Amino acid sequence: MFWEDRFRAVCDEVILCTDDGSAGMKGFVSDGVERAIAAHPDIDEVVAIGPLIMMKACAEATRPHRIHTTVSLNPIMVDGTGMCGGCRVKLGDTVKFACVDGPDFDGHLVDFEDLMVRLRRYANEEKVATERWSETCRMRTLAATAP
Amino acid sequence: MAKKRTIRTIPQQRTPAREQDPQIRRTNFEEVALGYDDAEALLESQRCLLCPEPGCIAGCPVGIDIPGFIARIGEGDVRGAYDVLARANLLPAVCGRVCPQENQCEGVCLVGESLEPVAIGRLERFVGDRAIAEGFARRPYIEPNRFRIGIVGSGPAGMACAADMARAGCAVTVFEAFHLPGGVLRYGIPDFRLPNRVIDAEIAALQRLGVVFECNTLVGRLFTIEQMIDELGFHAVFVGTGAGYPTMLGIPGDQLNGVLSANELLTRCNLMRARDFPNVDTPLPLGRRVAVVGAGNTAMDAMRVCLRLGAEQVTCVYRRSPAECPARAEEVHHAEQEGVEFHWLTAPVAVLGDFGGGVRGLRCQRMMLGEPDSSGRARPVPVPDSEHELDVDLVVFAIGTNANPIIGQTSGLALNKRGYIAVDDDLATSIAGVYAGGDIVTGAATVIEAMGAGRHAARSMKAYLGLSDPSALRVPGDPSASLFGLTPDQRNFVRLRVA
Repeated sequence: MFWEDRFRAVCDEVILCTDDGSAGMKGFVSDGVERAIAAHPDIDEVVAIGPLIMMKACAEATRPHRIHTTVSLNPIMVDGTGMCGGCRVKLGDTVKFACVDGPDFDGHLVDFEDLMVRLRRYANEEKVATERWSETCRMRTLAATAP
Repeated sequence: MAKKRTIRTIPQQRTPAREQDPQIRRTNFEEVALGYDDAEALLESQRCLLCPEPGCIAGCPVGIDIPGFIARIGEGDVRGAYDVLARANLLPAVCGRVCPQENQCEGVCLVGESLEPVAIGRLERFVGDRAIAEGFARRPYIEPNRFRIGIVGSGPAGMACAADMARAGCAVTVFEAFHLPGGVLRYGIPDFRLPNRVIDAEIAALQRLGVVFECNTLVGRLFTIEQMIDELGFHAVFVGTGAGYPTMLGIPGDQLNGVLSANELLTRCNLMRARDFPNVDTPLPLGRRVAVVGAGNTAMDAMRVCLRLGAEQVTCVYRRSPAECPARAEEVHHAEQEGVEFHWLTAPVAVLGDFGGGVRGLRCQRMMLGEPDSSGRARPVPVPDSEHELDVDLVVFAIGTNANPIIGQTSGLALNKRGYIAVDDDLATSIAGVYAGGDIVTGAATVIEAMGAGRHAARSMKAYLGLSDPSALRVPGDPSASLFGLTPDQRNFVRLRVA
């Protein structure tokens, strides 16, 4: 856990969540959101930034309460300047480019399922590149330690 | 004195340009058209009738003195030919390769009325390549002034504007969002049509004029247009950010993983070197059977890139007929030679997905041509009961682009209703000192038109800054009409802004 002190310095209330309960409450972020909503019925907005599955769970947690939920999306982009269209995101019936139209969107409109499929687009290539990267790293280490 | 040339005495056949064999070139990214050598250029230059009232000059968007430079080639004076070309066109090696000459100069060539027109584009390229090889573009004498010019975007419009402002003595900085300058020349046009070394040479020529390129700088996000004027100390700014925002068709399934824009494919392959994967980390969506929707130059580039990446079958799907196809004739011809299948009068209806989020096919319907629409082209109408499926695993949309929204979102520049920057006849925008030109004003057009706009904006900027145009011919006349070489119009424009 790092920067907890910094968060506490600027927040009225901080709810930490860990999967194993080693710090703060035991549970997912969405459980923390539920708890906050239960404690404060006057919450106006929820902002969720992190892994897709977490943002999706937060949006689902706030949906029954009709609390406006902003999520920050990270689809695959080539240039990030609105030029490739690779980062298109389904928002209800419309399609937006996360790089120039976002990256912050209304979490209740985002099609998370679609986004998760799109994020896996290059899963195989990512694996190859990671392996190649570790390989060159290992070679570099070997070269550096060789007599 | 040589005998006067007539349509009967000139070489009847257009000098063929040597090309890589289609079966070999579809496996490599080397340049397809190899260009003229001295003898071929000389022979082709003899086909120009040197008309007293040439149509070709009017057919050129920047008004190159075409008979002038061709005559110099005929005299063996390539340096002289370059000087004539460079007066109007700063990028002859680029424009000779990518201009749609058949709709411009060659389309109105008098020889073309009875024979094949003079190969003006190939001759222009010959001169441009020679200029690069022999370093014709030497640094002219530049009288420095204290004005600083900021240019947003390093594509053809920005490059042309930068060159003219640097020659006028201004300190020019070009901001480019990507890690390499060149704009669409770099990310869009593949190496086999416009090799990187040509772009590098043009950029180096600008750097010799003193132009500074700041790459990896996204104007609008790092700083705004207003900040460039108010805080960064630029006296005038030119916006040439292009129309790079791709259009998707909006048919069912266009969200699938095997569907992408031609911009994405080309940027990954050209700028990001994905074709060298896994030696570079950029992955590329490889298709075994590819359908490209659209038939413009970008579509041709996308199809030919897919072939070179190893696709077994590449299909062009276009809803109109070959007559309406907007690509350069040479590109269509090259694509056909390389084995692209053209499905004319065919429109996509839906992209069909497999279970993993990928593509298994493209459902299309046949079209027939109806009444002309607002663009003057025959409107395609669907043929009833003509739906059929193409067996493809990658669908590429090359159906045009829109204005990039970043500058509009982040500045107070007035836009027109289509999202492009609104300008007056001098290419001045709604903010004093800020000019715009190229695709971000007109919508997607050609390299040469963007270049022409960059130079037009440079003329206006010089007037705005009170700089006289050193290339303008001034005839001494009534002294009251001229003050320090400025016309009364220009004088009213002079703003004394101290650097």
